[in-house]
Amino acid sequence: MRATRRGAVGAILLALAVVAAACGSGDDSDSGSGDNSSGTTGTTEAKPAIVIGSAAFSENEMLANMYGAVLADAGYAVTYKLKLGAREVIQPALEDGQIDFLPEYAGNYLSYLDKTVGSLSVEETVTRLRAILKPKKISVLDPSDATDADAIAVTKDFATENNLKTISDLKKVTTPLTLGGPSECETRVTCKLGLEQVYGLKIGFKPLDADGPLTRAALDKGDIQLARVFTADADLKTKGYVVLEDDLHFQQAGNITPVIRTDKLDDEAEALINKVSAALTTDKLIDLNKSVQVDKEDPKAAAEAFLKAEGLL
Amino acid sequence: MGFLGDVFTWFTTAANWRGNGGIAHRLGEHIGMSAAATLTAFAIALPLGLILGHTGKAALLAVNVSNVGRAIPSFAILVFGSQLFGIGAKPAYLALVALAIPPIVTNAYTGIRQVDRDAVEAARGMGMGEARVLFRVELPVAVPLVMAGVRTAGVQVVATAGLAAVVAWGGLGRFIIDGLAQGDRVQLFGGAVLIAVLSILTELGLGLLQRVLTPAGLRLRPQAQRRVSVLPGAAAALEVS
Amino acid sequence: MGTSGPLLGANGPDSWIWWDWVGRHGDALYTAGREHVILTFWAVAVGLAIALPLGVAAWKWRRLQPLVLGVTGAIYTVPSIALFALLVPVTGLGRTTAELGLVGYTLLILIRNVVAGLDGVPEDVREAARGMGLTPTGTLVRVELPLALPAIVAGVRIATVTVIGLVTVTALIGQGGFGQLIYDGLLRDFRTPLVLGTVLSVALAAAADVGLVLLERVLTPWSRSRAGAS
Repeated sequence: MRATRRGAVGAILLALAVVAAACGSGDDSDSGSGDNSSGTTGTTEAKPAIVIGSAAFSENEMLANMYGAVLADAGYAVTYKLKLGAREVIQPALEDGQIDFLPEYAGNYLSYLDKTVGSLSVEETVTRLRAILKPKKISVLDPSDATDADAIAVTKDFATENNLKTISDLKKVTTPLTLGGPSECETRVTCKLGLEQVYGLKIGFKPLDADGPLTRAALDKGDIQLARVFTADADLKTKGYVVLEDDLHFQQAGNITPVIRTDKLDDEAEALINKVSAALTTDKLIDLNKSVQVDKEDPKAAAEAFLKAEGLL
Repeated sequence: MGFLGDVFTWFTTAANWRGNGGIAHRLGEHIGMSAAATLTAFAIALPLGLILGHTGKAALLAVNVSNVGRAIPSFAILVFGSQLFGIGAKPAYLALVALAIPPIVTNAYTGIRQVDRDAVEAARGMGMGEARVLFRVELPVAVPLVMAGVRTAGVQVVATAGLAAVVAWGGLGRFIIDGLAQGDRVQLFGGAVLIAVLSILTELGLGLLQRVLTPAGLRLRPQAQRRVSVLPGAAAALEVS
Repeated sequence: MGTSGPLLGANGPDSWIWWDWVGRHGDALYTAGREHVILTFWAVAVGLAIALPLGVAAWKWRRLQPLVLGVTGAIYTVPSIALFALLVPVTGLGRTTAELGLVGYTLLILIRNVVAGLDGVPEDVREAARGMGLTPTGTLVRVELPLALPAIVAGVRIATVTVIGLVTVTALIGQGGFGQLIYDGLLRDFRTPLVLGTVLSVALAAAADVGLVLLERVLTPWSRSRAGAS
């Protein structure tokens, strides 16, 4: 009897030890191909490990997988920390080295770093970004032509009733206006603050999500009249939303601009990343968003399919 | 001034209390929602648990439903609620009711079951109808366990209502979710303190209610009370404290 | 509104599970499961390592009890998302933050049950041990703790199931295990990962609970002869 009990205890402890050992080899999250060998270049140095982060919306997750797939394929040890949250959460992590790479958006990123900057051209935006980020040891790579910027949308009915084409037209509306968007929209000059400061609008705010199902449901229901959406959304037309023109230019350049910690950047990585950015166009981005958001394709699978089609993988 | 100083300032700035997003409104929303959800759950779960306990039916289900309920992540319950019922207060309310029902059912059931069977038989022997047996004999003895279930449910509802901000509801969780997204640790901390305090007050308040409702003869001495909570299996199912 | 994607076309946006999605995502489910198990295991293990000495201390020295239970109780009342979010600036966006918070939540449950278990040891058994010449430490290790085992394991069961649920909340700070699937379901309005993440999380909790019940049976063979024991 005693021996059986001891044996059972031993077996259970062994099982627990196996679980604990599994922990020891575990990474924080998904790895890419994870291989550290650098067979193609023939160097004896291992390539740096790159931690790729993403914000908590599917387009950014897809882009993170896209750049990561290309780097992993070239032998970099890529790991992912995805869906981390708003820029306000992720930026500190990039600055102190918890993550190395982010697929950013030039204008919004600049506005986050320098709240006083107005709406600039993409070249000017990138120049300023580089100036601000250089002392923080973060490199800004080439901006893509593909853009995804913040935009304000209303339902078709609301636009027709109030004869709205531009954001300035909203000043004519007499009924109270509420804007719906992610929590961080409330304090951003690229969002609610900008609408108030640049257009002089008085609007209420409802924190929902980053242009996700909650915001759309609220817009459809009439809980909000204005929704903060993304210009590269796949279903703005199909859902019957009208994007109001930003006639006073408070929105930023939405070019996709990867940023990476300088000590993780080598020439090969730079070339690979820039090639991906060059291959992206706004239309292709919208197609990718359709497959991920509407058709519920995996962000990773959609990214890899795109890369294969472009001959990059 | 320090972080805690900033938090103190946040609490003492009048503007932070006003308006739809102010502390007063969010606090009211949170208390209202928690109370409504817990009371609704009570109204549904108590009769169910009492009847099952009295008749002894569906024992396996009744005893284990609170374990199953506890195992379902509240995050998932809220997201399911928004998938089924859209956005706003209604899905949060329904999700919280669903969350609060299991502990009350299990505790009501077990509370009735552990009543001395001899006392029940004696009551029947005296000619009491089933309803009178339930309400005059069984229920008073079951009060401590029933109330323990209500306390568990109430505190859980207050805590989970804090998470409901993730599915577009308001309440005190707004300060936490918005504070996190805006990088505003002061707001985040303030919200956390508010929910924690509300949780403690709920636990204390319902504990007081339990003492008031427990018949005098049943108020066990602390020593004996602790022994009750050691019953293996019962401790896991009942969370008597 | 055309449907052109292969999965959507075959399944429809409102259906609760797309079985072909499940088939294709075996390794994502496995990775999420592994992360969930690891987070849970370490949280409960570390929690127990802290709770045992603290619980014994709180039991031996009554005056400590209000302090110990008060502090761990206070942690328990802080809503989980807030605790994790407050730790992020301190310990970063990694597993450590999640573990710290999760360990915090196990403490009240475990300590309460350690104390209750030790309280439940009959005085005459303690007398007998003293009579046999055991030192206080000897009594603790060889008599009192083993007799308190059912209550302690009951506490570990509750703590484990609680932690498994709380792990899903850590998805909001980049961790999450099965919570990542639930979060994905929320962000993309996609029911399949939502359902799977929930079902698997519950299944894990059930499996852990059953496993711990078996562990308790093995560790306390003497309780099997007592009628009515768990």
